[in-house]
Amino acid sequence: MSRVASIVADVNGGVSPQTTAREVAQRLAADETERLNATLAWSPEWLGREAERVEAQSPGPLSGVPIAIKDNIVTTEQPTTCASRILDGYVSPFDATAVARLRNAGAMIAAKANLDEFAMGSSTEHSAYGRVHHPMDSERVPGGSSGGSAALVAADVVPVALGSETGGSVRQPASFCGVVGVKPTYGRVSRYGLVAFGSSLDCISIFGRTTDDAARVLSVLSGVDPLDATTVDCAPPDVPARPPTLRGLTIGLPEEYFPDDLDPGVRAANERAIRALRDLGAELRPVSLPHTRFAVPTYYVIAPAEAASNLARYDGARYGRRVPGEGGGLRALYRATRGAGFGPEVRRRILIGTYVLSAGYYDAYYTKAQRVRVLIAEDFQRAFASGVDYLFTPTTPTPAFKAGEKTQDPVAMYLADIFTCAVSLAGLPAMSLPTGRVEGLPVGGQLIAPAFEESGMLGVAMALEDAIDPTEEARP
Amino acid sequence: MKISRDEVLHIAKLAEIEIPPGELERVTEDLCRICDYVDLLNEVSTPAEGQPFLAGPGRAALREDVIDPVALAHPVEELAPEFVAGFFLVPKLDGMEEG
Repeated sequence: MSRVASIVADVNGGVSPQTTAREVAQRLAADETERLNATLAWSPEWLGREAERVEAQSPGPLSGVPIAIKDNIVTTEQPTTCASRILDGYVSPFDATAVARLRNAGAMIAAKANLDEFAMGSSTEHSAYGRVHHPMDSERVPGGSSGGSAALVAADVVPVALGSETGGSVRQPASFCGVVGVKPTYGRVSRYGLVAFGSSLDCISIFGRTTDDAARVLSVLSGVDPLDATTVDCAPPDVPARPPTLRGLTIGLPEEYFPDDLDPGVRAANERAIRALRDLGAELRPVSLPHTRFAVPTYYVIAPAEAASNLARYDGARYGRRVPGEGGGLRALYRATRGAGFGPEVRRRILIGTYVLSAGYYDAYYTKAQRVRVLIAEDFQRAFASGVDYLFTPTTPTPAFKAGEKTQDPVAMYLADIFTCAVSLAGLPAMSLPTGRVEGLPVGGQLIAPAFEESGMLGVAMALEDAIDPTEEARP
Repeated sequence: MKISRDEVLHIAKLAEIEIPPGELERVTEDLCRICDYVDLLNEVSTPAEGQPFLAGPGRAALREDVIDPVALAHPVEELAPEFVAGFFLVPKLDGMEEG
């Protein structure tokens, strides 16, 4: 039984949510959790109030389930910092739609989780509140930008957590930490109350100990929201039953995702998963996604351009930190506030975004990237039109890397998302699930589905979960 | 692709961001490195025209144009650095300050 289903059964059977709240508070206060630096806000009192609310509610699909929320998703009762000094002291006057839906379903908000500042990063080293440590090796990163949420699930502090994806910020840390990470189709889950980074890419996404755990949360979060005009009116995905066989399904293996320089351990773990898919009855077929190598450069034009626009609102006028500028004028206030409030990676991305949108460079960079984005999306459309039901790839080219290893070279850091970016640009659903270990570190495999085909994808993942031991060492 | 220090300062002005003292050289190097990498896109042949890719619904769902205030858990004056009589206070914009 999944962790989520087990908690809900306990609560429905008479176990008080206060008991669960106290247990979660003990885990959050434990030295091991403190050392992860994965939380930005939590308290036993908040958890107690959450439990009281659940006790007063009718039973729901997530009754009593504690959940951590990435701190770029707004909540009225805890601060929302986006791990940035520029939002010091900010407490949102409204809840995100995702948070409201979780509460309506009976979930308890357990903690706000650390992240790369404004979700910009692949290692959770770019937080103004210090880096998050990998739960299995403190010298390493948990991935990012949702590293705090991933670490809390991997350390078994909470069974599920919300993160957000712009270019792979849930799938990549899920792979590094050995948990499940599900990114829904763009438009499946409301973005209302998710602090905007790249609006054409941002998706609230889910970490779970198992696929079933994540599927239960996805089902609650899904659905049209009048407060987000990009949500699509279609039925929420079911929590699928575990299929006994994958006979009749065709799974494509994109050759561009298995390059010669792929980490041998990552290759070995995912080749074992591929054999398991075949043994379950799936037909496997090589496919090509020829514009894959252009996904990261495309992403690093479009996402910073959207970020430069979205982050213009942080100016010290209406909320957050204010730094008076030299000379005392309004523009001096803006520049000093933004210069001091944003960290180096956010400043870098705003500058790149401003540059690619500026007169003389707009067509060469932004228009070009928009056209390449179309080609990347068409690669996927062609693959699925050729009779392939799902795609399977490694989630990341390497296991978790060491802290500090990539911070001096922004491009090296950006390439950590090389297998996740293209899916985000195409707006498709995808997920990472653990497929093995390399020298004790987790490795993930990625399933990619056509738009709004989450249920089928989750079913394939459940079958694969049953067929492999993700803690088994993969030998190249 | 080479971006000069003067260009970086100009972009920073457009973005309303002060670059901390001593960081200009590093920021310039990083922007040059990123733009050199992004220039990889020049290897792709793309059509001269075409619609941009749109994820999500074909068109955004429009709501009735009516005022439907969202209930706020905290009034805006609690969030604002300075707020008086219904207005956010900011320093004076001195004449037609250069952008």
